[in-house]
Amino acid sequence: MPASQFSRTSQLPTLSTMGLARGQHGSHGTGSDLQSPRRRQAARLWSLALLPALTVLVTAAISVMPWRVPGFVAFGLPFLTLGTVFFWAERRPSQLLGLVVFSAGLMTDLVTDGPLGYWALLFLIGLALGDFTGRHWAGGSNMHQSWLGFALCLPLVAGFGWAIASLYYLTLLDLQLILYATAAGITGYLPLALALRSLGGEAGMMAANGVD
Amino acid sequence: MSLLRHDGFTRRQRHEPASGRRAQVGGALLVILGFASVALLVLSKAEHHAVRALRTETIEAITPLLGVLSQPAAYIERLRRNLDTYRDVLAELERTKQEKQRLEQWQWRARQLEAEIDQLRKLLNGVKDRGFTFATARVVAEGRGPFTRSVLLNVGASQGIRNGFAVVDSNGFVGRVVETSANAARVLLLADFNSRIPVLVGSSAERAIVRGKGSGRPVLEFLPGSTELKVGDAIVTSGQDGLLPKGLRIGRVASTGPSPQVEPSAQLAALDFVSILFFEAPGLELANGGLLPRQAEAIASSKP
Repeated sequence: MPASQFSRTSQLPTLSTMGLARGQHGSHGTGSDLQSPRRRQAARLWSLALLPALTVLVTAAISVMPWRVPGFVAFGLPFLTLGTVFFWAERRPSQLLGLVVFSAGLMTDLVTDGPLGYWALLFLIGLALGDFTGRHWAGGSNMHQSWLGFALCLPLVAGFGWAIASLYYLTLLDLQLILYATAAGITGYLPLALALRSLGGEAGMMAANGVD
Repeated sequence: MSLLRHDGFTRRQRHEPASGRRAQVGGALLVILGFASVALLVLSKAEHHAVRALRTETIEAITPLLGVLSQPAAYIERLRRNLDTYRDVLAELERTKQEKQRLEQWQWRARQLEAEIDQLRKLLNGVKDRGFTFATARVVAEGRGPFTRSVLLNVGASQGIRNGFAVVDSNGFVGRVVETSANAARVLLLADFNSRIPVLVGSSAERAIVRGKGSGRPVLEFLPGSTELKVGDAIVTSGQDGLLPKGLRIGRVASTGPSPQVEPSAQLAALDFVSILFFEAPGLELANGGLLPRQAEAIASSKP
């Protein structure tokens, strides 16, 4: 059986439908001796497929921890989650479900006691902007462009967040804090993106796009 | 720079799918979730009971998990404090000796005054204030946004915590409990946008309100026009709200002017362990969803 057909058999139906199992087994033959490498490959592809959702949820959990950092940094911590959403939306949009992003935002809102739906909405906007940047501006092609894309998008999201919060409380909130937090968020995006890239690796992108 | 330029995901150059089309996030789903977020914001603003119930259920469910997850943050903080302490240990020792001397003098003075107060109270046939009992809890999560400054504690109603109880750290007043579930409690910090604490300012004990601003220092409001405010004046709770005990240390006046700022005594940005004061006050019933006796009486009398 040719390798490309072999990978589409019923043994890996879900991966096949996700476009994850194509062309990853070309160097292997057939038979029971291939079970183990194939399973290892499947497990690896699964972990790559789940990585965007997992990293978004983990950064959301990290952002609500009591880190005892200065005020503007603490306020900017959810921007860490926003950065993660933006990063994956630029590169692997099909593997970052809106529901996961919404859940991460809702969790942030519930734990930080903010208005319910606030961070959920901002994260969804981050997802849409990341996807838009990836499609129309080649934002995902290198780190410079990705960083620049985030640096352009974050002030928009933060400004929108400030407007929503001011509307919610019917008063003009402190803009300085938002500006500092945005600057911290833009600065922190680069190490975050480098870390996420090293986690995901090249294979993740290949898996996402179903490269042969 | 090559690290920045080279990206393993360079799909345009190498890994573009054969079709040339890129997978997208679900547009319709995004719109639906966006509307759901806005609807939740509206419900939250309206303080819908379902939102409150969801918050309480969620913090009850995730507090044990947050307790575990916050361990690395707590460990890093302990490490940082230990390093600071080791660095300053000699200076700290000297300072502590001086502080001990000073406090011993104050202790002697306090005992003298306490005896004097007891004597005067006996003369007036007055009732003695009840002492506080308290529970100590750990901060497991904190909320900081443009509007919120709150922390989540790992104790709740099953440990006797009720809404309205005052929370202090070793330096002074931190905030008050605003939400409790069986094993978790949320504390609205002094600096929160919604926080209003009635206080006494300075040696003349002028009444005022300390209002949180969400970010930055809280401010003093409703001070009488004739008040001569000085930087460094002590601020304590007045107990006028019927919720908080009188005399809890809030902080000091940090600046004067049309909107005087307050420097809180408690380290609100670095809370680890805090104490919840068990204090019976008339306002507590109201804070816990109950009625004041007069209101209950009025309702009872209106029934046929």
